[in-house]
Amino acid sequence: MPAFVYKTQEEYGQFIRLHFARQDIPEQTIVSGILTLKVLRAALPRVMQFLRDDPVCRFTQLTDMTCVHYPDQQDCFCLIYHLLSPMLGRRLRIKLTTQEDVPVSSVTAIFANADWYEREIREMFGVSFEGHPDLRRLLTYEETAFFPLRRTYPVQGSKRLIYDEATGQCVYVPRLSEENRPSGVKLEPEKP
Amino acid sequence: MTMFEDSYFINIAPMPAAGMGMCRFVGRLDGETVQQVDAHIGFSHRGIEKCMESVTPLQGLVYVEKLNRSAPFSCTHAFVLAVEKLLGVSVPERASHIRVILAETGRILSHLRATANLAAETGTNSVYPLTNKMAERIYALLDEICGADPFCTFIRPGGVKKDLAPRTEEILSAWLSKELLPVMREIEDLLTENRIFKSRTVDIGKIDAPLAEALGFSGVNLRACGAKWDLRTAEPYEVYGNLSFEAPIRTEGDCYSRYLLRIFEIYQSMQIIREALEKMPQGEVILPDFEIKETETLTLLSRHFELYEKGISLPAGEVYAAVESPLGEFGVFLISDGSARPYRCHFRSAGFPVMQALDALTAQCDLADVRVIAASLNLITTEIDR
Repeated sequence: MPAFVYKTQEEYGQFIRLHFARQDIPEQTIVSGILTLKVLRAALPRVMQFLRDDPVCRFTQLTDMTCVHYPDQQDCFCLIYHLLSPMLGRRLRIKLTTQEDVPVSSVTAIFANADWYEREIREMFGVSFEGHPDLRRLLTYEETAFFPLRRTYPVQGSKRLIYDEATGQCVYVPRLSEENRPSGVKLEPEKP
Repeated sequence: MTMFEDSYFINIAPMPAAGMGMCRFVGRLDGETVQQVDAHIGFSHRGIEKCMESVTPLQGLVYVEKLNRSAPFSCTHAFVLAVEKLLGVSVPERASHIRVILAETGRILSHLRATANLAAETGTNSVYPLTNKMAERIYALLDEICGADPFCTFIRPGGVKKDLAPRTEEILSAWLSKELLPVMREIEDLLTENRIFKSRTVDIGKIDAPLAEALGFSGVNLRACGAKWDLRTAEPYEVYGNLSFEAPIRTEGDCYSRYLLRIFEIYQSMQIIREALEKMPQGEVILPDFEIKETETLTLLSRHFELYEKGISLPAGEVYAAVESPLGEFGVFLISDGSARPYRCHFRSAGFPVMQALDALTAQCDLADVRVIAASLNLITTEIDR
C-alpha cells in the first residue's frame, strides 16, 4: 500500500495504533511537527518490530535515543526514541515511562545501534535494560557511583577534592550546599 | 580457530593522529586479521548536556560550538534552529543566506581536513600542507565575516550577530575561484588517481546501504553506499529549499567512495555559496527582539540588559531540530519547562552511531586498515563524547 494514502500525521498515527491493542499505545500527539506515540513498556519490542518491518512504516533507522528525568513523577524516567524512515522521509517519536527498578526491554535486537545509546542512558540515568548484550559504562569511568544526568544531581558535582594537611593526602569532601546552585551564580527566581 | 587458541588482544593506538580527538580501540586479532574492534570513547566527555541545563540558550551557544571544532557552525546551527523552532520565529532572509554561506564554508573546511587525514593515514602526507594553508585562509575569511574566530556565537537565535562587511561577497567569490579551485585540483591530482592511495582505500571498509541505514549512518558515510538522504534537500531548513543542488551519491560504500564524495561535496558547496551570494537580499540580519547592541534610549537599554541577564524565555515544549553537518545528521533535542533554561538538551552526534559501527566495518580486515577506515569515516570524538 503506498504511503501517500495517509495524508496527515494523525491518520498515520491511527494506522499504527490499529495494529495494537488500545492500551499498548494509549496516546498519540503531534509535538513540533513530529508524530509522538506513547507506548506501554511491555509492548515496546512489538511496536518497534512492527515499525521497522511494516511496508507502510519502514522506520529503518533509530536516529536517536535519550532519556529525561522527572523527579516529581512516580514513573520518573521518560525514554524517547527518534525513528526515521529515509525511504519515506518520515520521523516518529516513541515515548515510554519507567522507574528506577523496573527494567525496560532492550531494542538492540531490532535496532543494532541502540546498543551504545542504552549503555549511555544506563550510566547517565540509572535506567536498567533487559536483554542488552553488554552494559559496560561508555563515557565515564567504572568507579562512578552516581548518575550525572539526573535532575537531582548538581551541576558541579556532589563532592570536591581537597588536600588534607593533617594526613597529607587528597580526599573527597561533600560540597557545600551554596555551591550546588546551577552554574554557581545567584539566580533570579525563575518563572513557573 | 577459536579465540582462545589463536587470537590475541592489542591496543590499536590511542588515536590522536588523524585530528579526530582522543579515543582507544582494543582489537582482537588473529594474525594480522582483525576479528573485533572495541572502541573505548569518553576521553573528551565534558558533560555539555548537563551544563546546558544550567545556562540560557545564548550562554549555551558557547558550549555547543565547542562540540566540534573541526566543523565550525554545524553544531550551533542545529541548536539555534531548535531554539527558533521552539520559539516559533523565522529569521530574516538575509540572515538565512548568511547562515547557509557559513555552513557551507564550514563544510569545505571539515571535508578538507577529513581528506588530508585520510591521505595521511594512507601515507600521503603531502596533502596536509595544502589543506592547512587553505584552512588558515578560511579562518582568515571567517575572521573578516564574524569579527573573531568562527567560535564567537556568530549564528545565534533570531539571526546572525552582524551583517557582512562591505565587499565580502567579492572577496568570497574571488577566494572560491582563484584560491580554492587550484588547491582542489592539486589535491585531486595527488589522490584521485594515485595508485597507492587507491590500493589502500578501494574496497576497504565496505558497507551496504540497508546495513548502514540500520546502523544509524547519515551524511557522507550513508550517501557513499548509495542511499539518497540529505537533510538539506529531504527536510529543507534555512534557504536550502530555494537553492538548486542535489547531493551526489556513490554506490560502492568503501573508503574511496567516501573520499570521492567529500571532494564532490566541496565543489558543490562552492556552487551553493556562489548561488546564495547571488540570491542574498538586502535587509535585516537579526530579529529586533534578539538583538544585543548599544542603544540610546533607556527602555531599549533595559530590554537588552534583560536579554543579557535572563536570556530568552523558552516556551514549554519539546523540539527536535537537525542539520546536515559535514559529519552527518547533527540533531538537538530540546525540552523546555517554560523557564529561561532548557529542562533537557540532548545532542544527536553524527559520529556516535558510526563509531559504534566500527566493529562491523572492520570485520576481517587487516590491522593496517583500521586506521584508514576510521579516518575515512571522519570521526570527531569531541562531538561523539559531548
